[in-house]
Amino acid sequence: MQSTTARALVGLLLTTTALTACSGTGGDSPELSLLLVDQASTKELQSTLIPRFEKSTGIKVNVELVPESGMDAKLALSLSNNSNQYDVVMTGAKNWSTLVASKWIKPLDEYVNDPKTAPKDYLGGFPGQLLETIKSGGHYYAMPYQVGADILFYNKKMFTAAGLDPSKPPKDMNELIETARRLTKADRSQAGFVGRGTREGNENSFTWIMMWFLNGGHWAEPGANAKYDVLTEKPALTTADQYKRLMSEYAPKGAAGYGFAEAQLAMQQGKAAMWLDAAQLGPALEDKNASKIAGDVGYSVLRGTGEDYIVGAVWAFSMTSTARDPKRAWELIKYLTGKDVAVSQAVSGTNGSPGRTDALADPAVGQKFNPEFVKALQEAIAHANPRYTPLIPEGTQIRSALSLALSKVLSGEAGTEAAMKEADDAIRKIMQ
Amino acid sequence: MTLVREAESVDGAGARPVRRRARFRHRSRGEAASFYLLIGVPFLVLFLVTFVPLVVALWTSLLDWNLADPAGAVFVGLENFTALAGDPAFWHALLLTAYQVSATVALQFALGMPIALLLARRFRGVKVLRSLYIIPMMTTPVVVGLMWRMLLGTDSGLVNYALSLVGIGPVDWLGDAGTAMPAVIGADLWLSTPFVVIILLAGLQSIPQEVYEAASVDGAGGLRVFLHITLPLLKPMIFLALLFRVMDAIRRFDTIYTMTGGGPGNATETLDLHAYFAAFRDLEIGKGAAMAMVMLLIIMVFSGFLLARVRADDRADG
Repeated sequence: MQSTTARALVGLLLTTTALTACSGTGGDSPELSLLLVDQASTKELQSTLIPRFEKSTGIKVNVELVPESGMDAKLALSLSNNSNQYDVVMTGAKNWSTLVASKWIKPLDEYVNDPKTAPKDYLGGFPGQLLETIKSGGHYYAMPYQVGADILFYNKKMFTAAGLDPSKPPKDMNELIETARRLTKADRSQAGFVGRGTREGNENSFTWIMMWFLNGGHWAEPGANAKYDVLTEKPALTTADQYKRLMSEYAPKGAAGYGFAEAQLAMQQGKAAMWLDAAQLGPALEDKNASKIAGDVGYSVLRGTGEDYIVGAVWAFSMTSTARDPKRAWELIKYLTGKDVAVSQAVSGTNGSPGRTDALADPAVGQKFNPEFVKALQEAIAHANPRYTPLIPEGTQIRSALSLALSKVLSGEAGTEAAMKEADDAIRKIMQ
Repeated sequence: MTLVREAESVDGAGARPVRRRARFRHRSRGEAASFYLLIGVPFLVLFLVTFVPLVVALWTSLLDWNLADPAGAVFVGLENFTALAGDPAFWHALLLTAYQVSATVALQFALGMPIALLLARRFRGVKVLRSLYIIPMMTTPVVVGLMWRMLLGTDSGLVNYALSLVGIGPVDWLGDAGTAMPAVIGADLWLSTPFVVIILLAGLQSIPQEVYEAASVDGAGGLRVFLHITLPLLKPMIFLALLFRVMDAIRRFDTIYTMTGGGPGNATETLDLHAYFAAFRDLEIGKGAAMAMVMLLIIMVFSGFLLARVRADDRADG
């Protein structure tokens, strides 16, 4: 009896093992796995546009969405163990240095440089300068999907109510602060400004860097003697003071915990009068189903010193080094960064700032977009600088030190100078 | 051999172990195979999922290993630990963890004991009340974190709405360095106090009624009965709840991460968040593993101390 039980148990174990081993293998149809940052445009990719790709190619695409705040950790965890978990991943300019240095993504040159795999009408749709700036070490590792050049969004009605001319929005940081002061109501039922305040995903540093660029700040260019401990220099300290003033005195209460989604909501609900953020987030303000201020939104570009004072945050698609079927993975990248998807998403309003200029020139997009937005976007892209984050493997750590300092400043845990000095010391230590 | 040892420890005599060993020897091959299979498989699974990762983590803590560094890992001995000793951010996280754990557990006992005493009584609806009271325990900690984040929201949170009715606020609970940690502790109180209550309630219900009756005959009042009968008899359960709660509170990650992400500043960046950021944001796997080892050591020392106390009490009670 016992021997029968033992045999049964051994049999059960073997069956379980066999079933487990087989569970990972799919059928005959080709499959790809795609990792995306969770945002309106990628939700639309998942629900509408990727099913179209699947139908036309017969390739099944498994999609996973991850919040932006957790994306860096997700990329590190899933790509570091060479597990074939993903074939194509969405990457930001901030990730490239790490991903390239660790060889987690592979060069795309063999596809980009071959007219058969990258025809003229595909490559010609991207601005030439953008294609050059996204190269790492002279090689293509990503194809651009979104260019998040920053724009000042503002509520025209609130301007008029405060006695301000909506056709004359603030032109620089000093005017921004003064206008925010005039637009803020004493009980904060109307905030003059809103931005990102949370340190999760280093979001607050993104808003700060937009302001810092306007004040003439820049990270050092990568090189043998590159220094990144620039946070105690005048532009950085001035910006930290301005950021604190805007976010503490003129932003909605609780803005220290805001990410881009909360800031966008504050604008849509008419709680804030001005918002400085990436262009692709703008069209949602014009969505009549989600926004109380649709039709009353103004768009402008703040001016800074020099020529490249606008943050050009690029989101792109990269192929992992462990991609099981590189040719099909490239087909997916080409589709996601192609004109059809860009036009479709610009028209639906989920991606207001595609990486392709041919999409913006499309008549369907021209009809849909607010001309003021298109004008501001073109101006912003003309001054965009994709090196807004330290493009070295330690980039994320440097941004984290900065984000921690800004969070301390906003919460009153530390003064501006002390917090920025602490971050600067931390950066020096990281670079050692 | 294991059977013999067990029997010796249970019986304290030599006769029965010998008998058991003899019985074991007479088992058929089939019985022996079943025995080894039933014991061996769970042991192997436990070994693979517990011991192996632990050894790997320990080994990792001795490496200078940045995930993004193509040079890979370099053995540095105890360097990660000595670096931690000189890192103010680590000490800040450690002190913050001590504050969070001690405040959470102390308040959970301060609240849990009266609630357990109340629920141990017999009155109409007590069974429903006991069932309702364990609802927080059944909720996923991540959901609890998100729920409290919404409740404590500055402009649309219910807590601030309630305060506004009496002319207070709004308070930026999670955005102010002074209120963020108390808010996190408050959420953990809601989540985990029911666990303390259940353990204490089980202890209270196991105390024989005759003991209370005898005390009543002797004229002991409520407070004296509580201090000299209830508390001493409840001690094993108190230790048990304390052990589980302290271990759980030290490892509390999910609610803190979803409520504050360690902020504002580093006002709620406890040791496990600090280790997580080191390992999975900064990709310093060796440093993160070293912090995890420190946490493990703290939990082991505390557990060992508490278990020693329980054993000492057992011996004292005969």
